[in-house]
Amino acid sequence: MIEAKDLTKKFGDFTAVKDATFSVQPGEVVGLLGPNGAGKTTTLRMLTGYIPVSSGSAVLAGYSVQDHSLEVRRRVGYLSELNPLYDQLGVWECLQFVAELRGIDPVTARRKIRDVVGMCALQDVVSRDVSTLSKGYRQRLGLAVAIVHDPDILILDEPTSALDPLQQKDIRDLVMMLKAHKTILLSTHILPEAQALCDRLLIIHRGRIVAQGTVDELRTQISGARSYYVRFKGERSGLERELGALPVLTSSRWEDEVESGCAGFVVQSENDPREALFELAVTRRWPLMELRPLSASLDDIFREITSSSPSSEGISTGTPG
Amino acid sequence: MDLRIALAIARKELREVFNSPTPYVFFVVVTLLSGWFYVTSLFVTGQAALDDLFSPLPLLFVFFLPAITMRLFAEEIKMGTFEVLATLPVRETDIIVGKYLAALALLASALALTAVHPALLLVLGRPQAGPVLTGYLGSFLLGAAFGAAGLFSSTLTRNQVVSFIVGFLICFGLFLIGKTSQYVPGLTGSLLAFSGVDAHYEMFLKGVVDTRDIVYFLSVIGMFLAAAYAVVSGRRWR
Repeated sequence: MIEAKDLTKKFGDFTAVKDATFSVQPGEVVGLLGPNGAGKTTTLRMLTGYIPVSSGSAVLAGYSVQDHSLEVRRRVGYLSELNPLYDQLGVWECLQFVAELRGIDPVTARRKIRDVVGMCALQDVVSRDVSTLSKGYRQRLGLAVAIVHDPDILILDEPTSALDPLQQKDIRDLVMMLKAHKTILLSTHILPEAQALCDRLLIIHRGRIVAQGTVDELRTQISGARSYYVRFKGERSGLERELGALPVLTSSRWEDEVESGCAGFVVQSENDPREALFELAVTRRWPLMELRPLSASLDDIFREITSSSPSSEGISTGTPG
Repeated sequence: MDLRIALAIARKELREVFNSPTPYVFFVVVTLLSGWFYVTSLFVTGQAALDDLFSPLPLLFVFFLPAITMRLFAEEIKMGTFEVLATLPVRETDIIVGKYLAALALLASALALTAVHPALLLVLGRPQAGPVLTGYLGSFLLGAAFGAAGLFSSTLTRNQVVSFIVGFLICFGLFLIGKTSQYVPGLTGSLLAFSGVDAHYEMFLKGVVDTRDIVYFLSVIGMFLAAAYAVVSGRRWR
């Protein structure tokens, strides 16, 4: 598992990450979500021991990054954002080199490399040079390099950015496959991916973890009105007038007319407005055809949480997962 | 230090380097130039003297060792693979020793190629084996010292050209200090002579193996490798 407490990184006067506190349990995939420049990569690099922690602590697999960096590095697989690989080596050589540096004996290494080559579907390119690989294969090799020693903890920095939708799906499927036995922390700025892959999300903004929880938990965390869709059988103008006068609603607007003689509205309310809507239907004899809450999408949640700051560079909504 | 890991790194360096034209150019130029110096005096004076083989080597090494060591760290830093290396469970010492061993292997191969000249003498006459062996020992130590300086300058930058120039300046400095000593009298002169590579190298060519000269070369190597260690571990703690 990963446990970070008040993790802080300063580069001179600039604070890249401030007081990040979170944990990731075994068998869990946690997404670190934030706009570019929010501090995702810095946080992950501190956890891998690549850059030092300014203050606070991080414990991975029971070892402190500050005091037992080597032990942590033995137990962590890391795929960095730009996925740097040795271009002048072959695919097999590259995996062999990493296995050697991880102290795996040659016989076991051969077996493990064969395993990850199969898992990451690299069979077709195993004898090629790394420099000749396509982006998708390159990313899979990067992931193979990260998991060749079967680590307990996997840290992936934007594993699917710069890939096409099909390649993104490949990587996502791989992560889902690995999920059962590992602790996985990955960063992303693609919201649908976060929603599809992660059990829990950490939302990081300007170096601070501003919210964390499951998508549902985050949804309830954002304050303000909840939205409902309601459709009555009745005349639109009369409905508009009556809904506008209903004290429980903060707003209402006409949405559609999917059934003839009916009008659909999206209404917002601080409190649960369903009983009031039912009463309205009964007293005015407008049959209630449909009533359902509209759940906030991750987009809405993210925008809401990070809207306090004007500096965010925006986030990609990407392709739906 | 873990020798297994250092050797794995050395093997990887050699694999990479032999995938590029660098070592072939290096070998051809070293054999060609050393052959030229040796053979010209053979025909001009009619003497087959191994001095002519060994004495131009310092100037050649001033260029060639920085050239073969310039990529060692600069390339990893530029390509970002240093991040991969730094997040693997390996110590900085293993990385430095591994890369240095790869450079030494290239140096030893180049020197082995020049052995064709003494081998030929051995067939044709009866040369003294002593000075030949000490000459090779001296050349190897000299190249190893320049190689350490080149490795150090490679840790300083992501740019291989800068790395080469810094390495060249350090090696050329070590080469020149000895030359200037003859114009400086007294203690300063002898200090300069001791600091440069020249005086130490010449002892080996005379067939003298003096502990002081060996200690000198080993100290230069140790100093630059320690400096490289300081830079590399500092790089992590950015």
